[in-house]
Amino acid sequence: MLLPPGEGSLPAPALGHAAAATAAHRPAAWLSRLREGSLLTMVTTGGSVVLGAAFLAVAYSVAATRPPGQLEFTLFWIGELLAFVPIAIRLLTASARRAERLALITVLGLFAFVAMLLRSPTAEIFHDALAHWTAAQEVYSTGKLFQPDTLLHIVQYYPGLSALTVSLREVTGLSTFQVGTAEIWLLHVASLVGIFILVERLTTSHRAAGIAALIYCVNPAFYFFDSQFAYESLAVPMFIWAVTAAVVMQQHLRTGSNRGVPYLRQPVISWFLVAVLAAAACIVTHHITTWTLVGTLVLLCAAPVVWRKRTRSARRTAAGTAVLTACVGLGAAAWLVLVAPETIAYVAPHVIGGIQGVLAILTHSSSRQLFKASPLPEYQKLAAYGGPAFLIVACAAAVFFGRHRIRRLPPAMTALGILGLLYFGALPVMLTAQNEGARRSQTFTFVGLAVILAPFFVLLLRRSASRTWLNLLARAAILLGVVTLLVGNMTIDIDVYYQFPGPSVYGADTRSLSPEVIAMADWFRANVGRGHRVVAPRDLGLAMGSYGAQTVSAASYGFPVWQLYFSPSLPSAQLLGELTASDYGYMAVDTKMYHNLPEVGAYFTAGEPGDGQVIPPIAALRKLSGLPWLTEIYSSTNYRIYRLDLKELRACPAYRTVSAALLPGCPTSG
Amino acid sequence: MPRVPNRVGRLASGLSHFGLSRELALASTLLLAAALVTGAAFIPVEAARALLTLGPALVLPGAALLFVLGGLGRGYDRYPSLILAVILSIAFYPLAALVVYGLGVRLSPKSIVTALDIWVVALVLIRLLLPGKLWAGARPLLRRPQASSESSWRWTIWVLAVMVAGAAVIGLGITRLPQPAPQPYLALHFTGSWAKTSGVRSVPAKAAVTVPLSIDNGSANATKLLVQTSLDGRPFGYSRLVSLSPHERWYGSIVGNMTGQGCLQQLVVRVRRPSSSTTLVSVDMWLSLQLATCKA
Repeated sequence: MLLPPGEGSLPAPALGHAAAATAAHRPAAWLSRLREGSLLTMVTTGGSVVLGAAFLAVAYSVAATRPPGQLEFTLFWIGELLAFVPIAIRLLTASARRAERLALITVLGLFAFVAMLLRSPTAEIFHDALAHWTAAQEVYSTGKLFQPDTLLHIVQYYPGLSALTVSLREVTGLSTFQVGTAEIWLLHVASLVGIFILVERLTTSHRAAGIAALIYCVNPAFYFFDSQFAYESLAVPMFIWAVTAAVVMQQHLRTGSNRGVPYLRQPVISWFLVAVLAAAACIVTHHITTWTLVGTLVLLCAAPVVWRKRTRSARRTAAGTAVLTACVGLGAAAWLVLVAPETIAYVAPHVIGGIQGVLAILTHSSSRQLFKASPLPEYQKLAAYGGPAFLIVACAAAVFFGRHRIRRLPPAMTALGILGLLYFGALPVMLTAQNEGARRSQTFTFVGLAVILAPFFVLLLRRSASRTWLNLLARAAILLGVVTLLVGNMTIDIDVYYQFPGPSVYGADTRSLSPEVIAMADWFRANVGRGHRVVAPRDLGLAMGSYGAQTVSAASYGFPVWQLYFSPSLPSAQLLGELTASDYGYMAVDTKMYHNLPEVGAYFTAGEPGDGQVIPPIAALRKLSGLPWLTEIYSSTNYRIYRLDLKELRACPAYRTVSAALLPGCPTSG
Repeated sequence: MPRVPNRVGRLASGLSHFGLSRELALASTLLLAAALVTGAAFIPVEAARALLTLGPALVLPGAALLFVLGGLGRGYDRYPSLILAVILSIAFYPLAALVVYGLGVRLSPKSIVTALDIWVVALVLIRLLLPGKLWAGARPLLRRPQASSESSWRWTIWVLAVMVAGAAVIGLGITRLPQPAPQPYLALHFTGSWAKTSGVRSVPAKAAVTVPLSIDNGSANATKLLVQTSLDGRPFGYSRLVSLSPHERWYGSIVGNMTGQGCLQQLVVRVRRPSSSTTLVSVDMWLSLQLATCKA
């Protein structure tokens, strides 16, 4: 056990009362009593949370109705901190009871979803959320899993979220969006309670458990990325509970071995089954989370024998965990090989891109300016650098002060500590442009960081408890660090176009989804039908694939559909052949692309010609009106839909509005 | 720990007053809840269906598993156990749906509810029929710690109060605070079979052709528009003046005669304001004349 018994420590309830008694003898005992779970605490903390929600609502209204500025950021952070700071202060205090801590983290988990709800209160608008919503809609309408998903094709091989949502939709009669919102809200709370139980079991301190939940909830993905309707949002809580179940199972194995009770007994079998069920749900839901779970279980398996004396108890604990690890590992491998072999090709570019990015920075062949031309306030940018700095200092101090206790720590704590320290390994990748993998890894490494830091913070606060000013300083430092992490991590995770509503911005995913584009997609679905193959750039593809229920092209060098949009001349014979062979019948155009660069850095996909940094010539748009194999069936202020009829490639109109070079079947004169 | 409204426990206690053991009372409660979900899932009133099914559906499969695993034994830690039951339930549905899919059965209220019922009944039977000694001395998975035996009702009420007040504030914020005016737009499109055209459209030569059209006024202002059509650059039919109210869709058509010599002619429909020559939106259609000389 890392922590000496004291306040918030479970097995010694008397000490908790002793602490309260000590507090009663302090000069401000009446104030202490007032604070301790009193009505005043409840009203002030609760009122602050509700006021925080009100500020967030105003921030989103301001962002939506006024020109972009700093006011929405100020209101947003006032709202977030009004809820976060009082809860954090209560979780840091020794006097809070276990019930209060659980209530606080419940409210924290609920509140963390408010910003996301205000951002899109009636429909999914984030890119991944729309892709998953489309997948769930497709499963619902067909009644079958594994339906193709053109917006995010890998989703079809991981039907966990769709299956869950459709099952609940079938039972409750609610819409996909309503069921999805309820699920994600619950899963947010479940994640924090899972972390609480995990750390409480490891440290026997509910104070440390509460602080761990607080630390976990400031991970970069918690407020937005893992709040969207996407497979990771479901898989991560499963990961947390599978790890928690494995850790508790280990504890029962170890204590059972020490006491000589039968090896296979009820708590061991029960927790084993809980871990297997949570892991199974994880396997069918999300690839990276599954592999991280297997890796974490391997660490948990190794911990009792690698970093400890190889006693009989340790060997039994390791063997029991090995059985669980083998079950989960085999399940994950079987799913990967038999159901989702395309996962490797999907994930590899993110990993390789990250490594190449680091190498490029190390060899000075590439440089990247962080927050270049970002409209974010300076304090947010500062916090984005300050958060990792705080973690470096805090983790270094935790390891330094805890170095003599490491041998006495529960083996699972060592294993999860190693998982946490991997955060620092991913930091260099965060500096590269291909930092998607590194950013996503922080969801998991923060579980480990919570396990490292929470007991250390409790130790720090207990050691300083005798000197009021030192204790206040320690609390302030921890609070400042955690708030810096909250602000900085949210800055890292989400760009302003995802965070706030506002004027339409070309190529910004969420801000591109205007009523005009949704009307176009709706018109197409209603008048032309569902499931047609449509060529579209990224932003239009999002609307056509989701609201329009169409099959949208995925651009690549093997299928360079950008030629249709970028070039004033005819596309290559290879592309025309591909379009014919694949039965693409429609082409959607956003005329804004001929005046704007895309905010996400690509018109179609990363690595396209021009790298999203060159505006296509307007002649490329004009040519579309005069080609006999393109019929413009829909036109709005910014969007057009053409019917592709490649049989007419060599047709020759009597009246030409384009150059003869674009009409291969026609004589050059006349 | 915030105490959750423990209807399961209360109902189980009530049943135990009728002489049932704790296990039998819990089993009866789980079976009753499964029956409730089964019945409620087919209620035609959507709000009632959602209210009656959402909560039990999110807890029941996990609670049934916890019942078998000993998780609902005496002294169980209510709130974390409830969350664990929710997590296990959420894990249950994807796996059950996979089994249903594997059996070649369509996902539907009937198939999902059947899977849920089979799961609950099977687990209850396992718990009741297998020898009692297997569960002798079984401990809850999450036990209420001794030190936290303090009453938690106040914090339950606190969480509920914050949730209700927060929901009210968010609801007011969404419905009452100013929302952005959507960016206005205009859309012109073909309708009927012209919208579904498969490419070049075949028309009889020198015959009257009706072009079905629709215009959407996606703005908060009324507008007047002039619809003009041309065939290979020459006027086709008559221009039409169209008045549109805010957010109105206009349906109409343009009738003209096929003239000209070309076998493949382009019909272009343009929309502009009566006072301006700038085209706002336009659509086009390639028309192939049904002439013997045009076959090639």
